[in-house]
Amino acid sequence: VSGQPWILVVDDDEDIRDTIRSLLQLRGYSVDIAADGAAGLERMRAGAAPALVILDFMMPRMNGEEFRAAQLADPALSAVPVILLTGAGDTASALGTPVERIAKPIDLQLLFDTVARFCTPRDR
Amino acid sequence: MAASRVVSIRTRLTALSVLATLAPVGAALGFVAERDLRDIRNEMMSSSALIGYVIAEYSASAMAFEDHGDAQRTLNGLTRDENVIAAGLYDNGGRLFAGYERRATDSFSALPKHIRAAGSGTAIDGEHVTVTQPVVSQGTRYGSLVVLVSLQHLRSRIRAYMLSMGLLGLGAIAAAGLLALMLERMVSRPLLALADVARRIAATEDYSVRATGVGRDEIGLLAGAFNRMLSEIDGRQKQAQQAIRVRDDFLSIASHELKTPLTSLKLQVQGLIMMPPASLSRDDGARLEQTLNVVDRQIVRLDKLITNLLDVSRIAAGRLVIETAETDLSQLVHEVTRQFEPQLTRLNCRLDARIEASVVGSWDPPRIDQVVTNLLSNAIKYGGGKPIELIVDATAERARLVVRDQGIGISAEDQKRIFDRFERAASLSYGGLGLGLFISSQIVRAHGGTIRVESTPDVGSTFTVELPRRPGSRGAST
Repeated sequence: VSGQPWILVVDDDEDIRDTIRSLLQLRGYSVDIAADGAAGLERMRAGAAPALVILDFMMPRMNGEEFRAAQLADPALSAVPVILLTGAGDTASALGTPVERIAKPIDLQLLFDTVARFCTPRDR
Repeated sequence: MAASRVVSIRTRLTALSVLATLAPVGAALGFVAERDLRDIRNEMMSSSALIGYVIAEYSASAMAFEDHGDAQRTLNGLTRDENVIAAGLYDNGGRLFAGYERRATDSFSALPKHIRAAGSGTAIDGEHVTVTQPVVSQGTRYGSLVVLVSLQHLRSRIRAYMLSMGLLGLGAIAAAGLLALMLERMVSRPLLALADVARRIAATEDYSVRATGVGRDEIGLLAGAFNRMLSEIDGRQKQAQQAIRVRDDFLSIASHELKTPLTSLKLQVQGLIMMPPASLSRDDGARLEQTLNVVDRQIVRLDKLITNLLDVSRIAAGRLVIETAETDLSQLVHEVTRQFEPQLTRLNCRLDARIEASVVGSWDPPRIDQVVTNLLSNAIKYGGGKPIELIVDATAERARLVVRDQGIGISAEDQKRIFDRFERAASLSYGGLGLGLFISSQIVRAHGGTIRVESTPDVGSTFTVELPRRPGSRGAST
């Protein structure tokens, strides 16, 4: 995916992150995945920054809030827009902007529309 | 209406103290006064009688010789006795022969002009003692002597007693008031303070308030009991609040856990709906199969969550039923590990299993499956990808299952509560309802067995289950 605009999906649930990846790939996006916030940051710093991050809130090791704090503290990454996937009872505070929120269970069309506002597919 | 009849403790104490002070003092004083006054009266009467006798004796010859001057001189001798108001000598006809009055007047107003003859004796009326004494010389009666003695002395003594009584009464009331005040301070104030604490608690619902400043007497005991009751209520209220908090946390976790598979399901199904059926290719067929696999897995996951929730309510209602059958634990554990193989491969996690060829006992197979699955999935979840050790062995009496990981471990503090309902040691980020170990321990207990944990944080955890091979025989050794 190097050189291309790409999307990073960070979610500890294997099925969710794989599903989002394959559905976005079918739409023509380049997608990579990470199982938690720490792995996501590692992946973002490994090469070119992604065009968009789709971030789960509740994760082991480093949750969405901690990920967002670390991201905003890094000048190279702070401008990357984030779509936050929130569940019931999540208190997604102090996450800063630009953050979009999509509540679980995710509406696929809403996800596609929101992603499209930040990122254009390679070829359609 | 009833309230108007309520007499406060303060009023009752005052009344009681007045009575208590006044009654004995008054009675004693009355007794003394009565005795004293009677003595004075008797003494006056006998001294008056003596005066009468002496004067009559001295006057006898004067009367016999009808010597008025001598009789007058004898009577005038009474001046020395200030209690004698008047005295008169009367002849046998009852006519005044000679008279004496302390307050000298011409008319002898205090003395009767005539008396009836032959009277004799001592009488007392409201104002004086009247002594009537026959005047006799050598067997011949010449007349009578009448002496009037003042009761002034007795009356002033009575007045002094009355004054003393009055002063005593006032003193008693004052003392009683003081006593009542002290009693009130001792009794009614602490009670009012207690009532005030109760009122404050009712108003603020703050059960940490305590009754203070009470001694070690009966009211102190009451306050102590009151405070202990408050502590009990306080503790129970905190417990109830804690239980509500745990339940609320659990509801939030449960809804999160139920939503995660739903999220996945919804994405997959919506993805399928968006696929135009006409354009299905061979690739799409493979994707369809993959999608349906995910859908199936998520349904199994939802089913397990709901089963766990139902199990918990069953356990809470005491309806966890164990249906035993001849079961090979080794075979059962093999089957469970086979189900975990794809996951272990994906995580690149090694499972070292040392399982005896056959460990047969009388257990409930689906329930034991649940325990093994729970312990193994915990070991994978919290094991950090490091090798997991699994042991099944047995003695003649009991079977043993050991699951050991090298993951994040559990602190000594948390080890005490991980088998409790809704409790978990790990952060919420790890997912799960926090019911697995609770249900497992309840299942093991229902089989008459034991489950225990040994763990060191950041080193790993070892869970050991021991089950009796036959019902009734104890599976646990300590």
